[in-house]
Amino acid sequence: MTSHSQTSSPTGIKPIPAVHELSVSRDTLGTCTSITDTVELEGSTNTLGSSDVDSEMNGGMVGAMGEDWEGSPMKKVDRYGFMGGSQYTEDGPNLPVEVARQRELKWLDMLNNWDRWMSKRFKKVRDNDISDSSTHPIWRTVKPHPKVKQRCRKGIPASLRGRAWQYLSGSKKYMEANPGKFDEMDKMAGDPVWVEVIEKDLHRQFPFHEMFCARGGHGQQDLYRILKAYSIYNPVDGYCQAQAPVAAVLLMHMPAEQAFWALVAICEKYMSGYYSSGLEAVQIDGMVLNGLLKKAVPNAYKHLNKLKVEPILYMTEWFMCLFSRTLPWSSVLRVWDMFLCEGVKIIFKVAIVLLKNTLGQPAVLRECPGLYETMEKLRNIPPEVMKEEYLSREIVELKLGEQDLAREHNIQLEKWRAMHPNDSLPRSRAKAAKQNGRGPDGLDNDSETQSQRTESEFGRNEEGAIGGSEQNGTLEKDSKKDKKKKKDSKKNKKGGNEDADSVSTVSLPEEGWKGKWKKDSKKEKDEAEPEDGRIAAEEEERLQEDEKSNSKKDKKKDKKEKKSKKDEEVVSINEETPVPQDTQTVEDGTASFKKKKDKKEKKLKKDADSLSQEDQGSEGGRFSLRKKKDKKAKKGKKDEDSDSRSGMSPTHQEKQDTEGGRFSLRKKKDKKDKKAEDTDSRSEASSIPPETVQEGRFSLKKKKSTKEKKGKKEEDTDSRSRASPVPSEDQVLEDGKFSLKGKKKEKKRRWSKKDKESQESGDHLS
Amino acid sequence: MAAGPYNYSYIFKYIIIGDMGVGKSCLLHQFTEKKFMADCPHTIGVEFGTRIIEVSGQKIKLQIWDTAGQERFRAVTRSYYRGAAGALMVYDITRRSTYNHLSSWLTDARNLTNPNTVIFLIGNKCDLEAQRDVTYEEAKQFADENGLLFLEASAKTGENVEEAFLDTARKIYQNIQDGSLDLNAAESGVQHKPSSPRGTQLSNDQPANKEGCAC
Repeated sequence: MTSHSQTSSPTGIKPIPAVHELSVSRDTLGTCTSITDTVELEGSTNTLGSSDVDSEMNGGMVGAMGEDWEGSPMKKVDRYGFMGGSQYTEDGPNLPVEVARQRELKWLDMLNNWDRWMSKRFKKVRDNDISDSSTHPIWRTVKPHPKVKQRCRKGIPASLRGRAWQYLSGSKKYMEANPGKFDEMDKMAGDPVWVEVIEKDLHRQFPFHEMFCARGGHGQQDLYRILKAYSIYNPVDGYCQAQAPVAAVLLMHMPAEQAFWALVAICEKYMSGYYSSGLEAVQIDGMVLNGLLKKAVPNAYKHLNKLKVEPILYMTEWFMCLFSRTLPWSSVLRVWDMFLCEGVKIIFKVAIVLLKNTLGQPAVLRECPGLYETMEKLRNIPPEVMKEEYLSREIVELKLGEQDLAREHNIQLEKWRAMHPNDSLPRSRAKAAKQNGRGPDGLDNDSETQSQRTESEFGRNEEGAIGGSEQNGTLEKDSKKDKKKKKDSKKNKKGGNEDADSVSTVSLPEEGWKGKWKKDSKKEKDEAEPEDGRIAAEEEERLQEDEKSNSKKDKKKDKKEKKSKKDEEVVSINEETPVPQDTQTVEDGTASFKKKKDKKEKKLKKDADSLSQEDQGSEGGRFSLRKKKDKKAKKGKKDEDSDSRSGMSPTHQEKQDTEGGRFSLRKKKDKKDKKAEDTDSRSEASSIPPETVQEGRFSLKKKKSTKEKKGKKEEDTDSRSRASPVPSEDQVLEDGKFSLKGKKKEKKRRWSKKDKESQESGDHLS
Repeated sequence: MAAGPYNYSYIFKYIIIGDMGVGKSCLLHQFTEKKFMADCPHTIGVEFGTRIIEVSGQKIKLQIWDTAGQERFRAVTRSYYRGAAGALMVYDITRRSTYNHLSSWLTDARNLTNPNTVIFLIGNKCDLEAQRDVTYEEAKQFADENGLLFLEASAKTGENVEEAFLDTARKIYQNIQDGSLDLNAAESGVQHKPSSPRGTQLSNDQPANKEGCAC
């Protein structure tokens, strides 16, 4: 292998398409002479993400490539820079050039105007997306529009991937906030303990990749630099072997400094605690995965449990290397696109999809009578399952809300604590839970507390390297978010309490869960408050402004609202947002749970009224405020409208998941029926075929939805939209607990009555 | 798979343990593929290898679990020890630190496997004589003191690799023959399979314990 690199001729070699824009260390890369021509060809065509390199060119050699690099016939470099090995990608059909180009343009526009784009839609995004992936800590700094999520799900154009990843992960901001930091660490010697280990691993990362095949080549040098820098950056965790492949993937897409900060983002935020000694985070996530599997793929779960195949046996490498050593390369990139956008839940989703497709069939399970056979099966996942398109579709279709994850995580955390009474909750874990949005407080609303937390955490590591970024560079978005929050909380204080309160209570699917969480997050709340004060003045100003503009727009909107069914639907979507939001109220630390309850009771009637007339929302509750804003946002240009709708569909769906606490089908189905105008929205909606439904829970919902469909469609929409916030509130009042199964039907009926009444006028108009 | 005849009589589970970079995965690769893999990716979690060997006329299928070596993975890899009939404990003769850590690996192996598990000490990279940091004699003494089988081997040249794996199997088989290893004991690490064809009733999780039904 080294011989190849020695004969390399760096000149004239075009960068791998994926890294096209950021061809830093690549031009100088050692690449085999014999493949230069083909690489060039690929490089040029692939700029559009669509190389149509003649597949016959290497057709004959494919099979000949054994596992072993040495002595095997050489292949041309594939479109991702691999020259062989299990992750070599054959040339396949590509996206039509026009489509690819279109996507590139969209992404270019998005990236070039990232801040503006995001801030322009920030509020709307925030409101719409709150229960969703926005709850992930990465949204602390970057708040993508649902559209961004959607585009990430379709795959980031290869030529822009490196750039996009930096934006998505927020690592760009880190880097900008820490100029020279990397160079500084780069020059430092590093702990010899880690350095020795890192050096041993350099030649073992993707040895079939043109960038890393050369011993001591640029790829390996850069890998050394960023891993060493990270061990200096985070001396407590130092270097974990599983970081190397992650870093290598990043290096394939960006220069060392950028890759370093992206690595920081992944290790500190996305996979917090994964790489620290003890690996508690991984072990707990293994348990979480198992819990999720129980619901999603019960037969596989039973099988694994019967044979005592602990999750840790099969998921360690998947999770720690973010599937980079498991999936074919095109799938790795698609998974990373989604992962960096939506967070760790994508990793869980991939795992569930793989397990479902590998072990889901009874026939397959019969073939695996023992632990070892089962493990072998899982080591040899059918290739068709891992194919880019299939896998991506499955991932998107699998419904797994943030709160499902949060709930499961808390359950498993309790178990973990019980099993390890002497360990205080794993250090890294506690923070991971909160940060990653697996813990309920990971919800977007606690971004203030989060940033505080992170400051201290990072402070622990490296004189607040990141803490600095949080405070200084920190994205105006962050502060805006905070302001917004503050605004909300103020409003609540002012007089919209009823609404906000009710909303907040509603959103708690399970009191027990919340109680637990409250304990945990008390500290954070305390921390958060001072920050509130800090921005208070600013906040007030904004608040007033906002209110003005809102009330104006609201009036207009109200009229418009009833004009069309479309609008109704949009509203219904928006109205559901409050569910997850209430957690926010709690997090804001403004009101205690009990108080809210009381108030709620008093104001119940009022609430009901206000709900039946959407206009009344303007009375000031946070909930209604939001509602208006959403409407406003939606009522813009027509195409913006459809844009947002399509963009929202995923959000909407996921919200439902969250709300139900389960993978929910009902609303999606309804939605599907109603809308098919927008391709995007169609694809999102139709991505939930009934087959996805696997369990009793799902079927319950299904039934409901069928029932509902029998009624008027509009009525449906309405009742749905209102039912979710209010009745659950009711329930909370009634028994203090949220029992999803029993009460939902009743709730719905009650509310659809009200809806009917209130709807009548709307019907006329429409 | 379950429906076909077994062409082996026993399944032995092995684990390979030892510090990172001592060549665990390379030993496995050499044993199963008869090749040396220079840039063998480091193991995250666990890897597997299988090979059927013959001991005293009995075909034995070895299921080999190759574990991650880095210290922080030990919390995870400990769960792989369960039910191992043989443990290959590897150090690198050119790095004394890997030898010094043997006692902690041995403790894990003893604590997490059953008392009859055969532990085989392998001093790897014996092709690098010039860089030797640990003498044969001291390692041999360590092995004797702790009742371990011992060989120096080279995953690169293949020297003694077969022997290490086969000697372990012979020892396990011997334990079965003289009755010191109870096949029916939970987690003995050995499963007895009939050589004759057998139906699908094997869909059992513990076929080893059901051996009586078809023998």
